[in-house]
Amino acid sequence: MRLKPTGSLGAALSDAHHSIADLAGETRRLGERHRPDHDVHHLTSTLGRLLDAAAATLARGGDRYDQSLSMPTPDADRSGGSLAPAREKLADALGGRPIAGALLLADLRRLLGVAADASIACIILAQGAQATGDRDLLEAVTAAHATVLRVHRWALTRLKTTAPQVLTS
Amino acid sequence: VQDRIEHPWGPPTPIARGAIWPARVDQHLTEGIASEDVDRWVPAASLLHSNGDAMDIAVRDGRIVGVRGRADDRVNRGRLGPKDLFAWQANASPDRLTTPLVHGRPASWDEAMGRIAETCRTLLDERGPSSMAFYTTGQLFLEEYWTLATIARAGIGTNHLDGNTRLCTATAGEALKESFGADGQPGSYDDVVHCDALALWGHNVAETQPVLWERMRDRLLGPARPRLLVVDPRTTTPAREAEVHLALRPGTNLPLLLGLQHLLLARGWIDEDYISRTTVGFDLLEAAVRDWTPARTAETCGLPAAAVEAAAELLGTCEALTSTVLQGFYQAHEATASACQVNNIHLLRGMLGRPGAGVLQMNGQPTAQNTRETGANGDLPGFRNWANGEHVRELAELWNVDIMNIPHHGPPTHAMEIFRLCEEGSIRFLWISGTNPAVSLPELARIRKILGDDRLFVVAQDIFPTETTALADVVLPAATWAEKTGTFTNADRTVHLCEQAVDPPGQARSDLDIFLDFARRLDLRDKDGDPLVAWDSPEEAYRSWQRCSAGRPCDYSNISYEDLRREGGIQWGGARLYHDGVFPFAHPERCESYGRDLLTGGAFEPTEYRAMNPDGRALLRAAEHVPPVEPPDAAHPLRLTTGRTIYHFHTRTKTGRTPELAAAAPDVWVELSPADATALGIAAGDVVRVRSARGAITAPVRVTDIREGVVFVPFHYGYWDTDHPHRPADDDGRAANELTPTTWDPVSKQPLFKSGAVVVERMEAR
Repeated sequence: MRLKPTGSLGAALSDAHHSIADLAGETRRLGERHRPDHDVHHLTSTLGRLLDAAAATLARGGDRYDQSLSMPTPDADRSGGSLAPAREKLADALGGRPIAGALLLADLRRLLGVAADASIACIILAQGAQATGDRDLLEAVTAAHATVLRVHRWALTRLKTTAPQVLTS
Repeated sequence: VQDRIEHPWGPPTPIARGAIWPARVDQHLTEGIASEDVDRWVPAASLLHSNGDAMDIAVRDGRIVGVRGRADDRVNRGRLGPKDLFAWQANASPDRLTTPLVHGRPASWDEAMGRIAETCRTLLDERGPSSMAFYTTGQLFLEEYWTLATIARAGIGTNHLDGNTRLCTATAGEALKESFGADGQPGSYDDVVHCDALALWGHNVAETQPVLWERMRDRLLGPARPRLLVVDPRTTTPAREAEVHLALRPGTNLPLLLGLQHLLLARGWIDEDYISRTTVGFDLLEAAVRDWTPARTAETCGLPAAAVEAAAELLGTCEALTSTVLQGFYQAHEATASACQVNNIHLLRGMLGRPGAGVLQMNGQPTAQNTRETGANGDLPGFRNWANGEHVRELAELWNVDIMNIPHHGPPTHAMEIFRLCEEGSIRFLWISGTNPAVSLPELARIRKILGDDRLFVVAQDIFPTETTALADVVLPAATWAEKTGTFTNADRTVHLCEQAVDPPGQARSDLDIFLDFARRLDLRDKDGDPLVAWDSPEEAYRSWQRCSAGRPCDYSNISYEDLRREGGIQWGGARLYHDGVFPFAHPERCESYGRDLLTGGAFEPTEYRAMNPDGRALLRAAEHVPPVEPPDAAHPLRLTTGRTIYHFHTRTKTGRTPELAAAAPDVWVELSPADATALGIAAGDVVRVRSARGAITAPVRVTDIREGVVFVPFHYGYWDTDHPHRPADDDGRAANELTPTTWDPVSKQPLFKSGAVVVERMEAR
């Protein structure tokens, strides 16, 4: 390591970690809120797992920067919290109404916002890792960023196909 | 003469590598009719699988009296499978639909079509084109799909047109696009004759394309037989002949393929010159397979490591490899990703575009290829790219409509999404032609609910009463094979003309005539005020299609009706695509798709594709494995896989009305491994209930050489021939799709019928 790690790099690491964890939670909640939309429901659980793995990779680097970052629960299919059953019930009730499409559009839009934020946090951290010459951290954040971008790409594709139907029917 | 139910593949004609496949003419005529009693022999091809076997229909006194294979045709050299030999009889079945029905009541064509047109006009006024959807099939003719695509995409302007080909062949199309830039089978059936290694990836060819299997079998029985690799959890007829049979754990196709590529790279069994000259993506692929050691692969797939090594050796040391891929991959977890890995193997080894070296991403249905080509399933007509403005402009010019009339804001809506939009109520009109979703889609209880919803106006166009017509507002009686004229294209790009031999029964009309009537009633016009659909006959429709296809991969412009009458089957694109490592339709300006993330289906932008593949090379596609959606658990400990028997096609509408075929496979069954049967205390013939989280069926058990932990149920059986003809009477369903989950591949959107968990319960003797 060329430079001694600084406090603010640690903060950037913590920030990126939290952003990705937020994105994982938001992704899962989207799946629960749209359970009758099978595509969304199944993919969000896969993407949630990948984001957990990305967050975990960053968390492992946390110690070196005096950051104690909580590791996501290893259980792959953990739900998005205690409200998950209520969200799924509501989703089932709304699944047969045209409003379901409008809600999906709004939720995808919010998810894209969270994903964009996580992406920016990754870029900031990657720049820091580059500048300090921390190869391991750079590798970890690059991989994590790729997962974030993957979620973003998926959500954008889904948003583009959802919007026309919602707006014209 | 052999009994072709007892011996479905007929007598062998063994051949050496590169030899000409000898003719063997199969024929079946009604009892009491001899060849000399036949008035006319009318050229046609098989409509009960995707092989496109050429035949002549025997006609006497205006009725079909039999069929005979065409000895001079490249596809089958006179051979016919059991379905072709017998199922023509169903045309004359007494329960054909012969008059339109409006809410179950016989009606005139004018009333029925008037009702449809009025509903459409009202919806278009009040809710716009995206409230209307069309769900077609893989069993009409090219001319009919082209007409329907013109009506839906250029006339009405809805993005909601798809085929049931989504269930059978969507992954073939997507995998070809992802690897080569555009749809189109690189290989030829002739490759079977020239190869020294054959790999069947989830393809039970003996039952799905019997005549293609006869070609393979004749090589296997001849001198210098090719080595055979079969990947299938069931010990199928081809698996019994294989040097290497990998009966892998369902849901692990992708890990197996990653492991095989790992070994090809590790052993240096790759063509580095071909790779560097003709492909992009090698580095990413290399990284993706790095960790898939034989040990890890074997453990994930539930196979002996030595078997994985043997398969890699077979693939890596042959000089001419022919691969075929079908439902074991297309309807399974990670469908497109896995099918792309087969393409990868051919690219890594330079096994394309020369005799014996080819990939056939197979089709299931006879005319599925045309559904895709014409833009009735998948992308825009002529394998055009909806995201490429220039491609859409070409179509607008051809149709002479404003480009903004053609929906191209996103990919055409896939069938599963169409049903989802019907479920949420934003689609209010669904016209189903030539398919039976109330038996063939997953999670049937849900499908029946959607089709039965009062908000949805359902038109069903079919030749028999089905589980689906029972739920339709308007039923239209259609003419079928031998009662109308048109072309279609098989799984190795061979086009056949199928001529009308007899009149349709009663008031039944050809699907083309029905669509043309619809276009006239809606008064669809181009931008000069002329009729949008400017044709009246199949041949005129075909000529219009020739113009649309010109310059695209599926170029029909130099194949006329006259050529087809004179020569029989003709392949578009020539014998093989992609000679010398040239992939013309992978170029950014010409490709059908800019590609997708194989894990999520997230679409790449045009700029990304251009950056990745500026010169239009083949694409080695890396992928990573994730666990399947519904793994077995304590409540549902077994894995379900659904499939086919040689004696039936789809939901048996024709084959179930054919005495020989119905008798050969009269009812549903469940296959269990000996170990599972013993553990459950079940003997062959016992009746069991199979239950998933969605529903249940009851059926007798066959104990077979299927992999332990896996349950097989054929999907053909529904309810039309029971005393409750539309749905299960109670908890004891008969249709395999009562059990299957609503889930699909993220890229091809093909439903995953070979997934889901079930429990098998022994039932007390009644």
